[in-house]
Amino acid sequence: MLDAVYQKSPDMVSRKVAGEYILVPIRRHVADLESIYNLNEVGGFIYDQIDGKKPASQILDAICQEFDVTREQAEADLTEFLSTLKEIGAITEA
Amino acid sequence: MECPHIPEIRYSEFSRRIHEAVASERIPISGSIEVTERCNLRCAHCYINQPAGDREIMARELTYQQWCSIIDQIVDEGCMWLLLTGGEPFVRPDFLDIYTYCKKKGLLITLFTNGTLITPEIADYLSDYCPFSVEITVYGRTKETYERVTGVPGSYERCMRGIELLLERKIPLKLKTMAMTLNVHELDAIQEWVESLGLEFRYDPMINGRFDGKDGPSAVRLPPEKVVELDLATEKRRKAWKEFAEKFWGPPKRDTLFVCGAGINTFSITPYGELSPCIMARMFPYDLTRGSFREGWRNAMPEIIGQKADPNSPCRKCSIGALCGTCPGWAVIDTGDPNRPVEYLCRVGQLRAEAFGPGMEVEVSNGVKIH
Repeated sequence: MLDAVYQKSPDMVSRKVAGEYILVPIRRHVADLESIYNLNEVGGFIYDQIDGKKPASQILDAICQEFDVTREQAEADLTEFLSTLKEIGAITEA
Repeated sequence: MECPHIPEIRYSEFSRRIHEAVASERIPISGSIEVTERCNLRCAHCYINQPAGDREIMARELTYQQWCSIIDQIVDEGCMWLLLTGGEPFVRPDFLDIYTYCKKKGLLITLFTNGTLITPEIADYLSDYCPFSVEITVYGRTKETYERVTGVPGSYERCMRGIELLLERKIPLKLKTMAMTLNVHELDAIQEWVESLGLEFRYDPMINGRFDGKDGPSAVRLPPEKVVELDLATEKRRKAWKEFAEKFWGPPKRDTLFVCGAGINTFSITPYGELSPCIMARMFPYDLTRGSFREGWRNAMPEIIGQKADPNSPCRKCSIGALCGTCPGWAVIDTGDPNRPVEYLCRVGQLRAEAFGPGMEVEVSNGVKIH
């Protein structure tokens, strides 16, 4: 998974409103339109790094530089987070 | 490091959190845009409708490009919920383009439409790019009554078809009505039908005059006694009004002209790019074709909503102002003066105060009696 490159789905829009970082599905086939997806600080940081160019390993490097975390823990969290983003249709493999 | 999880929250929870967060800040979290005043119907009570084919009005309306620029700006300032309304939005051939632009900016869109111009293709599109909600006003349960209000033969069938197309696709839909002399006899029947569809129903009996000053709506207003009779007609409404009266009894707490929340976290924009605190109060517009939304929101709006009320206005001392529903917008439409009481609303307010005010008795037997 760390070799993969991910890109954001054009059918999910990110918004920063009143201190909240959220993902808003704009088409019905993406996720559940009854829901809003709320990112915390680390989630928002990772989502911002996804650009359709850099592999996930580079995102992992950035996390380790930005946050006080072991590489093993960061890798586990990143892998799980990317899987969830894929599940809700927010990202696809480039 | 905090684990980067993605809590999935329901709209209601999200809405509560955001509204709490913006309560102490002036973020324009919620707004409305009238894309046109034109409409294919000619409703007797309407405050805004202009002929669908009026070229002079069409020429004054903002273009798709101008709307895109304004939508970019309102999103940058923090808007999350946007009402797209009219007139009838679908009389604009480019309405779905404007709608889609709003969707792609991550706005949660409520769409007010009369439903008569919804085709299977439009319904399919709305099913894909799904709105937060569509709201359609049902003017009658029968064709005769519906079209007595709209003035357009065939509009009843087209509205019913539009509703059917949205329901078939499970597009979030709310149905409502305006209660007036022409359709009040079918109010219960409309409510029963809407609830039989599994949808929530609401009605509004308060009909204001037209923005263009022409006659019409006041002729179909319900008498104040009938308005309050409807307030008292069900246990649910009685309870809601009683609670409302107790909560908001007393003279205005602020000395400003605007005592509601308009312009604090909400805004409204006319088809011609005029920014106002709300749809009704458009007498102090800020021109978005000459200045930016940011400038209008941050500098002009506080001046608009911060204007002092006339200390000699009877409304300043009135304890039942919340029950009559008056506002500077309505006062301007009806009297030309934002500080002046609206006689019709005063009467409604007085009757409501008698019915629901603190310490007042309400008697209901074989009809309605107010003591």
